[in-house]
Amino acid sequence: MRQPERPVGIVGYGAYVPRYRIAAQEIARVWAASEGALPITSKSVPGPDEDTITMAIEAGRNALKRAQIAPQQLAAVWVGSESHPYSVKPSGTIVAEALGTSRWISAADWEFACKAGTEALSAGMGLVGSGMADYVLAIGADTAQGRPGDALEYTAAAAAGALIVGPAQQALATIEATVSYVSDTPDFFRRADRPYPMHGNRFTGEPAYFHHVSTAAKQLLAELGRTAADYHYAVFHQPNVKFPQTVAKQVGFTPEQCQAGLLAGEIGNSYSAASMIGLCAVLDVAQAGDRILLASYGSGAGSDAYSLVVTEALVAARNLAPRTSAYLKRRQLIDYATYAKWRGKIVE
Amino acid sequence: MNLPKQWRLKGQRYRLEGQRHSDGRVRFPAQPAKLGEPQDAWQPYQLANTGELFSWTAQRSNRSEFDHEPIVIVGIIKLADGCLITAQLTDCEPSELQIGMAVEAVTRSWGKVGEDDLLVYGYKFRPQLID
Amino acid sequence: MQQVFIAGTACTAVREHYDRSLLDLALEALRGAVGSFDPSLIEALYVGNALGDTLSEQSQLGAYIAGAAGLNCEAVRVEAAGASGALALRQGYLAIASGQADVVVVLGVEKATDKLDAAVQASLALGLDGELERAVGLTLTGGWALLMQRYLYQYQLPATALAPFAINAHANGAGNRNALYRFAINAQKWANAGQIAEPLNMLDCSTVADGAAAVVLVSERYAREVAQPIAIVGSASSSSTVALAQRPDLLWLEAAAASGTKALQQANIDRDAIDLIELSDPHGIAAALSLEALGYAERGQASQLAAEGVIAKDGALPLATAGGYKARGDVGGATGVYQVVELVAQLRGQAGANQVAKAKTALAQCLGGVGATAVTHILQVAEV
Repeated sequence: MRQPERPVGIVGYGAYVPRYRIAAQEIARVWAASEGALPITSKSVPGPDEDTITMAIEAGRNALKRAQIAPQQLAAVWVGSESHPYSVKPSGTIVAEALGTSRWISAADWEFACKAGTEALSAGMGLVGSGMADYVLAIGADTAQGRPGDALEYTAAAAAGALIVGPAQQALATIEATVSYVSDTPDFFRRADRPYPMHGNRFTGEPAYFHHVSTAAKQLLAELGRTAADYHYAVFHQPNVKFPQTVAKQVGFTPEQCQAGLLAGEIGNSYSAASMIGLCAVLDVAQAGDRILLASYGSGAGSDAYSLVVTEALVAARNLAPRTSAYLKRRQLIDYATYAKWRGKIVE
Repeated sequence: MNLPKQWRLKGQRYRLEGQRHSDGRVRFPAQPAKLGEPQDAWQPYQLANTGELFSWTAQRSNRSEFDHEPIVIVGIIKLADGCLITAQLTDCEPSELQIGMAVEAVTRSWGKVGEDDLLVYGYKFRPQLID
Repeated sequence: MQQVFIAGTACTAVREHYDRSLLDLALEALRGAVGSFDPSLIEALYVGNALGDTLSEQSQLGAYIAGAAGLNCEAVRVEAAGASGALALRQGYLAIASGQADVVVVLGVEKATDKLDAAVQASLALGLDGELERAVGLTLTGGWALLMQRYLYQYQLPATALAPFAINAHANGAGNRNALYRFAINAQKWANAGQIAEPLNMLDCSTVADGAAAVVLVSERYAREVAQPIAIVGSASSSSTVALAQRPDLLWLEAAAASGTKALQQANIDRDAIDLIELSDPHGIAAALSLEALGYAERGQASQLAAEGVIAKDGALPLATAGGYKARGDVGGATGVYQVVELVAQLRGQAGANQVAKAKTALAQCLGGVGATAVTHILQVAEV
């Protein structure tokens, strides 16, 4: 268990989800006749003018509004993603420039499959917790891709979550402690020159997702001397609906504790953003004193778990930017042809 | 590929950087003083990022850089501080648009430049999000 | 200041001249306008052309065309988007008026069909503000559509209010063998046309095509030797901000108003003395705003002039007697010269099927882009 010397917390948060959705049924209509268990109802699809950078910018702007700080007060802008638009050239500098930060910042891109965003969050805790900086913006954003017809295509979605780490005294939710747990597990990967990732089907489950997430979450609870019953909310990485529900049960959480932060059914797996916007959705409804467990997952593999406590400041701050539900509500369904065109699946 | 030009324009494109006159007038983008104006008459100013739709068109016949979408919607927006700005509208269909409706600025992709794809980003406007 | 007269005029048919080059078209018009006039007397050539750099990949059009014509004289290409030809005419006018020359030739030429539509759109859009309008995807047609949408809103009009401009243009185009579209349209067809840039529909949008037109301008000394010389009694141009959003009043074509007023003042006549008129009318909204800028209608009222037949061939102010941009065809930077070729034919009583009775004084106004450049000329039957 890690705790910074100087107590830290989330001083601002912001979500972003694109307007467009494709129904899992629509993908099934094209690729599989089976009406069998679809992993989600629909997934978010970025519009033709959206990418990880534009989504990160909007989530970042929302986080700044709630933090009520000037962009020039940020010491770092870190963007975690597995779909950075450039292979070489940081997303972070573009996001920072758009937000209007000082140029005397650290701006970098992080990569750890679906937990690139929480890697940035943990690093932000280090920078603020050591006293080296006051505010760090950690963003998880992805426009994930699945090979046409592959199981991943049903869920690979797009969204961005932004969290600003700052001193605990100003926090909307303090971060009590964190753990990170990793191992070399090739459950899902993509080489730079390949358009779509490879995944290990059922191998992505037990030895990968479930092992890492439950180990990290249980370890954090154990070291804090708590049980799931001490928490109002739990948010787990959500590649689909079933995985987070199953891991929640393994760690001892009830479906009710997970409901507010479980968005995958409506928007799919938003990769680096998934656990972060789950947290955003919880912060949209939580009350002072509520305790939240957050556990991300990144293939390859690892999990970061955090214990948070909501402060009195949250209720007023959450109205300063659009709530996650505002993005979920503006839902425009598209057909597979439009989706295939926008996502570059039509080869000319 | 015009890297320096794209780089030079990022302030106005990313952050709606314009100018404000000492008499309160606002203009976009930042530009040199007109002949006869004192050099410091206009000071840097970040425009309001909300406004109302002043006019719009749904273009069905577009230049090759833009013809990957069947319709390009371009509007003139009257920003809350009174300044007019021409911009693409996004996240909407022509049937939703009405002069006077509330819109807000977002940063979106403007496309790619050159055969190696420099990515260009800038302002667009969308119907104001309803919370 | 010398008086300036139009001696010869000529134009090619407006067509998709796939088998002809810019030079072919230019030479046909030049040959026709110069006629039997001694070419060695020509002291300057002014070429109006908007799209040559991008669509014909040729610059230095002055020398390029002068050389092909065998003229070794001052040769200038003038560019102001759609107003290029009209501004070239004004340069020719100034050369003679100033006494620097006695015989000059003005040519408007556009060769638009060598490239595909998207490239033509791109080339036309160069007349917009590059950083503020073109970069966000606006097209020239889209620029006019933005004005139309606001106009309909401001004055509470249906889009069909502007239909009579295109219907009038097509009625006239049917009688002009040089027109691109030689057929009439009706209100029903107009109302059913598909959208190009909403609210501009296909029958409210001109088609860019190829053509060249030329006029020979002379001083009084030479005008005496010409049958039916036509005097240029007013010539003025003005400009306003290219970027639409930076204009103080989106629905007021400031340059059109300024150049019109100045030209009328110079001619020392009232606008009601004008017997027929040529305008930049690629869309009904352009004609309407131009008529308002020139003071022929109160703001928001110009469509009534069209509805009431004032602009018809037998109306009080016939407009677009050769078919306008819509039916004659939109010849880009050559338009200003085409307008004058038509008005000269009318003033000389040589306009055939579309002849306006007793035409003595005519006005041509030509716009660049969405009216950022405006050039106005007033022509009169001369007595020399």
